[in-house]
Amino acid sequence: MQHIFARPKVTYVVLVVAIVGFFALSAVGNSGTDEQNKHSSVGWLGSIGWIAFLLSVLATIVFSVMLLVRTARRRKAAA
Amino acid sequence: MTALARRSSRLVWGWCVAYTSVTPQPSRERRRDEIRSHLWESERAGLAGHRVAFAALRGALHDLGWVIGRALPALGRSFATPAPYVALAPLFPLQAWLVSALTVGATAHLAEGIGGIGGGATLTLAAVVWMFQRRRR
Repeated sequence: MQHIFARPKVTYVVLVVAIVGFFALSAVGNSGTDEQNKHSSVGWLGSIGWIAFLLSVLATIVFSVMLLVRTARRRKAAA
Repeated sequence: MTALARRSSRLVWGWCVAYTSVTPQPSRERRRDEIRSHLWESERAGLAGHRVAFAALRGALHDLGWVIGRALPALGRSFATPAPYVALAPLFPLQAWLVSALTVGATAHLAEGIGGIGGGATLTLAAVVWMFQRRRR
């Protein structure tokens, strides 16, 4: 856990790659009309991609907030 | 760092911290030290708070000019590093998500296609810049 805060740049790169990658995955079986998508045999893969994309966005927000809080606390302790 | 006693000085200091936060570190620190020193001296000299605040207000445009002069070249130089491309990459899927949420049921909007391709393309660009950087070292 400490490691991801020690190198935030690397963590952000991983999160960004996850966001972009999972968004691309979410298009699998979901690129037609709603009716076509319903009959797609690989729609489940797109759904997993979509959920993972949303979780990645959430993880990025949570990580950013935690990073801000940690930085503020460290500054307060140093002052 | 000596604490500032007056509210007007603290306000001016807050403004200084805000506008210098987007500039590169060496010029940011130089500017902050300079302003901090001016504020401390004005407190020691017993200058009225409203005069300090008014002087800061008159210099606000100059401050913004200073920021543009320092931040823009640094921003331009940053495009030779992967950082801005990595920062821009997630914006493509996010805008596609927003557009698709606003156009539910309609045929796919052009922005959704750009969102799908743009993120990957920007990340590829970041990887290329990173490889060039590594080769140069």
